[in-house]
Amino acid sequence: MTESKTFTVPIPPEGSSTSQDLPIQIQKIIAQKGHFRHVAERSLLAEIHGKALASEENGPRSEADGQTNEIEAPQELRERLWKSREEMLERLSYAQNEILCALDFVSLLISKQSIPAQSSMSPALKEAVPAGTLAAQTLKLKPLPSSVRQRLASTSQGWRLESFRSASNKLSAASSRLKADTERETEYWAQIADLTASGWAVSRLPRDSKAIGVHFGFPESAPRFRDRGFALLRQANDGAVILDKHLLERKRKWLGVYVNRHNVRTGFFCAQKPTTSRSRSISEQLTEMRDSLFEEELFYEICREARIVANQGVSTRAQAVDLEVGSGYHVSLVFAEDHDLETCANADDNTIAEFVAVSLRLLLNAAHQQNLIRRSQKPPPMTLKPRPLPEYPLVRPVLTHLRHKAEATAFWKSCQTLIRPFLQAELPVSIALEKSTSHVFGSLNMDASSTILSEMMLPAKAGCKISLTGGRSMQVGLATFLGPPLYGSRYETSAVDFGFSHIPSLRHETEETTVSFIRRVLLLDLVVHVESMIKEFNNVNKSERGTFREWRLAQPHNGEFTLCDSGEAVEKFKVAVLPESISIKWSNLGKGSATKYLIWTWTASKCTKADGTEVEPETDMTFGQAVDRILKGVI
Amino acid sequence: MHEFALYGLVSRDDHDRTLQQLAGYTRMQPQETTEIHLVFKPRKPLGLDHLPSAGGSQGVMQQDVQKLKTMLNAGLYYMQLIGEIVPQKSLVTENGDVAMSNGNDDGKPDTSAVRWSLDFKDTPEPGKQAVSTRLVSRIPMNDGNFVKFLDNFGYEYVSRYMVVGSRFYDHDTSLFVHKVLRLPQVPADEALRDTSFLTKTSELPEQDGSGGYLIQASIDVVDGNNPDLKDRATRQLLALKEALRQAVELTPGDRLALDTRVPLTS
Repeated sequence: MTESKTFTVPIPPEGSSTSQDLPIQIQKIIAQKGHFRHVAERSLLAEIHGKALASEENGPRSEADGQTNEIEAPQELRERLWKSREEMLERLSYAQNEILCALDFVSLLISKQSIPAQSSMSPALKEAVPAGTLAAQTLKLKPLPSSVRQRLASTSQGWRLESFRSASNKLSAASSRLKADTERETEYWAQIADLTASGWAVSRLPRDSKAIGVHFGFPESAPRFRDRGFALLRQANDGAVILDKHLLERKRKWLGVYVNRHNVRTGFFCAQKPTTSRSRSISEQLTEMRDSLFEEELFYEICREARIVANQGVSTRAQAVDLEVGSGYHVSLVFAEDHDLETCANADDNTIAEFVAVSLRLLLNAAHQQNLIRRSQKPPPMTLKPRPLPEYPLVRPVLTHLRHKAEATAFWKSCQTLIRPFLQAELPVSIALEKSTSHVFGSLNMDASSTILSEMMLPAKAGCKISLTGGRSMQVGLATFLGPPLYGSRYETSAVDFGFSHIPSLRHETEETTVSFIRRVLLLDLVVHVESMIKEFNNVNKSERGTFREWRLAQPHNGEFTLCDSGEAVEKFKVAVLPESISIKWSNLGKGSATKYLIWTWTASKCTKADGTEVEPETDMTFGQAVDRILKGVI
Repeated sequence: MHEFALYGLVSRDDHDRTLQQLAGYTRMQPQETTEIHLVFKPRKPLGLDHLPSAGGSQGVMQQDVQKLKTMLNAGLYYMQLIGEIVPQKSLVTENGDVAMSNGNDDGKPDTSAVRWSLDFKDTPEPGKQAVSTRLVSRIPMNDGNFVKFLDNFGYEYVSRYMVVGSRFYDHDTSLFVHKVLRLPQVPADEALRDTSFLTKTSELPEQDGSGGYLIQASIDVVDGNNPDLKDRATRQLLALKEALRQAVELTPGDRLALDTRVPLTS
């Protein structure tokens, strides 16, 4: 300890690279010069001298060092010196403590043999441990037996093997996992490529760059259906593409069309039977989802339209829309999960149901097309009012055509009934259907849209031509439309000129009025026909008969002819057109003799002659012959 | 009617790509549009020259005269007669010769194929705004002598040019990618009838030599002063701007570049 006081500790030069920490410096010194116990004053002196010799050779550098030292203010230098001294004292006391501990240990160890050693033990140790209780023994290094060495060697080898094996297992597991991953991805992308190849539009989501979805909806449907026409394509554990479960588990509903006549179901059609099997390809699932979305949209649009045509005999219920066609005959559009699939016997009504079902679907497609056309035109300026979404024409065209057909059939039947007696009477009156209806309903020209089925949106038209005697003819047209300006069916007849009466072009609202009007026209036509016969008769027989005795047309609108003798009526006959027959009623007015009368009646099948008391059939009698007999007076 | 608009530039190389992107965005095919623009300039009001010029010794009169002059001179705007070429079946023939002989032999079908309208555009509203707003008015002109009509109205024909491009529509927004072509200048009377250049549109010189296109996204609004409508239109346009940010940059137009006023002359 006394020696340490004479130590001259060199102050290390300042430098950023040299650490100020004392323990580190001590470590460095030990590494460079050996342990302190080998450091003696002499060797240090010798070193200093050696250094001095060396430093004389590069004098300027030491001068520079000296200068840098001088630069430091003496105050700072002193402070640093004091600090280093404090630190060093602390270290020294630590070392002293260590040394005392070592001394305690050695004293305790040798206290067993020598008593004086006990005096150098510290009092604390003496109190804690009795003297001479620690013994030391020198052990000889014993070589391990070969068997043990071998065992140890094989154990270590075993462990090493074990670790190799586990590493290999881990690597192969990773490799197989990667392989499975590759297969999964390959499978997934192959299936997606298949989907694209089969025409489905596959795209990424703008929001989520990882997700891939497929568009199966119709791009032109109303927004609420368009947005639903998109599904995410997810990856199953085996790599197959799957759709979200909740999409598949939705209940599928379909639109079925029922035809009812007098509350009896006579016709049914459902476009597609929903399949329920689970294992289907993704493309089939998408097709089914698309179809069901389409059906849903179809029913939604039908309901929306049904509301605005509620005044036309269309009633809406929760899952069905009823179209009243007329005369106890209505069509139900039912939207349900499963339909009563029993087939109905009536083939005609099944065809009608199919017509309605197919037309509705085609019309919805046409409406989609119309939407695209409208969207591709300049939008009108923005207003505060939201732009209305017009109802698609779905029910209206179908109902128009159904009603039109029913109306036209009924009308045609009535006309046939009306005409048949004329044929029996061999009168040159006939009725024929006409394809072109341009000469009637000239005013009812509507602009057809350029979509498919545009013809179907127009009013349904039909026409027939009634050929009358003397080369005259009349056209009858029938148009049906549920919208303005018709709101139903309307008949139009072309103008006819009968000489004594000109009938202008007319409109009729119902079938009854039209038929009675036609009956009237036929009567007038008969009157003109008879009149011409009389004229002919008079021309031929002018020489024989006097001009004083002549048949005349008395009341044209009643079909009454009179025979005047010297300005006085002696005989009269009257032609009449009744709903199912035509007749000639002759009577003499009974001047001087008893009143006689005679009636010929032609019905669809026969001709009868009624004579005051008896009725007898006269099969071969024609209208012309009958009139001829009256004119000649051979009765 | 007010027009809210954003403008952008599409370089020639980007043109096809932009068309495809817009077609995808608007889910419709581009509508090819060709328009003939005839520019009309208002005549200076008569008698303007008779007013004493400024700087005289009549200090008392000066202010009134100045006011009158501004009143007469201000508010003079260029007008345009825009003829949109309506594609007709006869014009769309594979053989260019057929279409050309159509144009030369009988003058009738071509005039009917152009849909004219008188177009007025105000200068965009001032102030820093997210979109350019201006008053516009478009009056369809069906029949009559347009040049004489405008002449009587105090407008004289200046020049003409042509705009070709593709239109897209998305909800209320119209997107018009177009470029301006210069037309051979002819007198006013012929400018309306002369459509011989329609068959050789590709040979017409372009105003912009680089072959670039302009893109205009606009919304017509019935009443641009209504805050609700204004807000809605602005929002729609900004949403469009955001959606097309990657493809094309849409910005409000420079107000002075869109100025339609006749420069003040004293």
